[in-house]
Amino acid sequence: MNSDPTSKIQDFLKHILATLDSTFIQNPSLFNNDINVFKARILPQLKAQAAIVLNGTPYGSRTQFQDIWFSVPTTQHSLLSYDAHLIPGSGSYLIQASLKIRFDETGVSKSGESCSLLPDVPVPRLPSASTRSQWSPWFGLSLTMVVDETINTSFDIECISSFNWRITYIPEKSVYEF
Amino acid sequence: MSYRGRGRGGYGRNQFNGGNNYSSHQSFAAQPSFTVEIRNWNNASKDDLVSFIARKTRIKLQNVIVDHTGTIQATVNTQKDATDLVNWNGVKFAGQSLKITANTSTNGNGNAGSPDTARTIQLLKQFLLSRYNAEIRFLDLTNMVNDPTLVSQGLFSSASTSSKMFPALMKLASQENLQVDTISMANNNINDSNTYLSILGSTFPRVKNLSLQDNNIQKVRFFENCRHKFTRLRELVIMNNPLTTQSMDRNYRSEVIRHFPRLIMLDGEYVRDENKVSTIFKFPAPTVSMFFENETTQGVATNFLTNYLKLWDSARDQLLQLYAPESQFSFQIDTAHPSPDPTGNSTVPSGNSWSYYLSNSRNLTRISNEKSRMSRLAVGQEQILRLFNCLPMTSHKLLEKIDQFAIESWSFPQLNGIIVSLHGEFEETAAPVQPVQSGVRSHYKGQRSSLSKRSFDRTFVIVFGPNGAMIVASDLLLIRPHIPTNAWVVTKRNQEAAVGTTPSAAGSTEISRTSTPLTHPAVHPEVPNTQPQPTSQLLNTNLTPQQQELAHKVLMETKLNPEFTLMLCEQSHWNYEAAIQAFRSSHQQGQIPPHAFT
Repeated sequence: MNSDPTSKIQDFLKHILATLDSTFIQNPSLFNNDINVFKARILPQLKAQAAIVLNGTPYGSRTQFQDIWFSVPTTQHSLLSYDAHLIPGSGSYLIQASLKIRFDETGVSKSGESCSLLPDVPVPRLPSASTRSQWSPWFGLSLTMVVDETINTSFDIECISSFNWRITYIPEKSVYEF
Repeated sequence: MSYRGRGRGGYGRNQFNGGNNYSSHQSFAAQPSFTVEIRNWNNASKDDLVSFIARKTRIKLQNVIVDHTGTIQATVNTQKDATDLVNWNGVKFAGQSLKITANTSTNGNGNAGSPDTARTIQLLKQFLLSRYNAEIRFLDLTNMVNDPTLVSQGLFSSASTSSKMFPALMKLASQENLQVDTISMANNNINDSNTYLSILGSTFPRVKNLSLQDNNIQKVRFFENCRHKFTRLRELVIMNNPLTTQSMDRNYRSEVIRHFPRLIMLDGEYVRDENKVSTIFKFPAPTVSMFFENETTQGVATNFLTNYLKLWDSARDQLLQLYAPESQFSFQIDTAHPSPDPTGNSTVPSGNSWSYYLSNSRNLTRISNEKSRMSRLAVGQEQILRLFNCLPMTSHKLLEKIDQFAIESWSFPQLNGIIVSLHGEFEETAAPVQPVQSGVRSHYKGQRSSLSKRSFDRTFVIVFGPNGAMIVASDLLLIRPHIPTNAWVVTKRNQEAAVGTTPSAAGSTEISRTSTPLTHPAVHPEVPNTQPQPTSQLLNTNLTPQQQELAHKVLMETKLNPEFTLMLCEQSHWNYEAAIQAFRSSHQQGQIPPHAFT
């Protein structure tokens, strides 16, 4: 093995994490103002029948995952460490990454639906406007994936055959629960 | 509406106001006091015990109170009295052996505190316990700034003493491990620069109901230091503060609730949809510590892991038979993983040194040089053994402490194999067999790294050779600072509550979990909300203390929500028996709507 086969993986990871962290409400026109378009752009790199495991619970299809992830409040993933092996004879990478993640605590969903029963304040008095995220403390996260070698040609193809997302640390002062 | 007039009233606290418990506080001023605790006395009355002790030991117990655990707390005049009394530990009283101890917890470090400090602490403790109702988990600090005992002892005499008093009180509350759902801080002259709330939030971050009624809060800014402090607050009462009474509009409400993400009720009005709050702040996928795609995967994974880790800890070189010429192994360290004390990096203890790992860590976010990347990847048995030997010797307690581990295992159809992911912790037990590799000597510089606990994630790709033998095709190990495992332990509890699975016993010799095939998506049972409905909605109603007490009793008995509880009480003319009877009869006839219950 002479050259590094993992050179594009970091960009790939950042690319797919961005799809997990996107929200509909901030710019609906990006998604033709259509929630279903937005949903379909959550981790579209998953193969339709990928093996998906979230905190030990399995999901058997990409659309199921997209429905689930849609109901999670806005997130922010941050990559801390990763390593990867190209497995000979399989045409796939095994990627193991360590991340931190935080969740929006404003009580507003990705689609803009709010828990609040109060009327919107027309002009927020405080500089931190009410539409901005209020982030939870950071959670620890481990991510293991099997990804096709084809990511070396394009990131926007169905290439993830396994996606194992496991929270490793829950901060005591988080509103968000697992 | 005013609650001010009966500020120090409610919740059966009357008995303590100027009552017997403080009758001897005058004597505090004259002489120092020492605290003792007595257990196993409950077959007789408190007075019987005091007489017995006086008769038997000639020592007079003073300031005698019974705390919420049933322990007698009392003071004596001299250290010698305290010591003499402890010598009577085990004496028979009312058929039991008394357990007598000199209390060293009140001043934190035994007798180091001055007698004055010990006396003040004892006084605060008495006050705290007198304001605590364990049954309804209610801490009533209403109008404490005018509490006759605290005032007479000068605890609010200057800004300096009053600023120390509340933190001390909260520290005692932590030491006493008070279980509190509801806190009233009403009528305490709290203004915008007061810091009580922040201290309160640090002490009781999971409190559900809080009253700040009848204070002097003027601006929403007052709540800004509550961020991340009241993560479970459901109900807040701030009526009768300038913020609410002098506002031109009611927009302050939207700003206040931003600081309390789970707040449902503000001054008795619903401000958020409770169902939506419960849904949005709960991850939709239930957490399960073990996942195996099917029985075959489970069998292979558990068998592999138990044997592998056993050898990894005891005879690492014997594992080489599992690796083939194309097998790959590398490890990485993530020193920045979130942990309970992320600010603790200023003084990194030597035990957290990463020197054994640094020179070969393949954290690719930090290594961009292709040659370095490739040199840290071990391929084939020889390189893999060399890298194994660079890592400290370890101990994994997979079988003994299965709760500290999480496993996911699923198929890898590309090579007809399986993937096994393991998360958990290990303890370093000895330095690496061969800590220094050629070319990287400079990283160690002769320093010795001490051993410590680590957390880790490890993923194996296992394939099968021609004779069915297991081969590790790929092995990725990630090591991070040790954190107490809470991510799957906490949620395992939820899972048990939801589906009634049996927790595996510690010391179990086999890993057995229900496997769920990927093709059968998991069912998401609703986790029943077992938290008791807060009772403090009764706080802001116009009731006498007796009525409040009765309403609380009815609410606890019937599990009706506060609104219906009050309705029932009124219809029953505030007669407890009548209320309960009416409730039962209506309930049997199905006349009570589901939304009437908490």
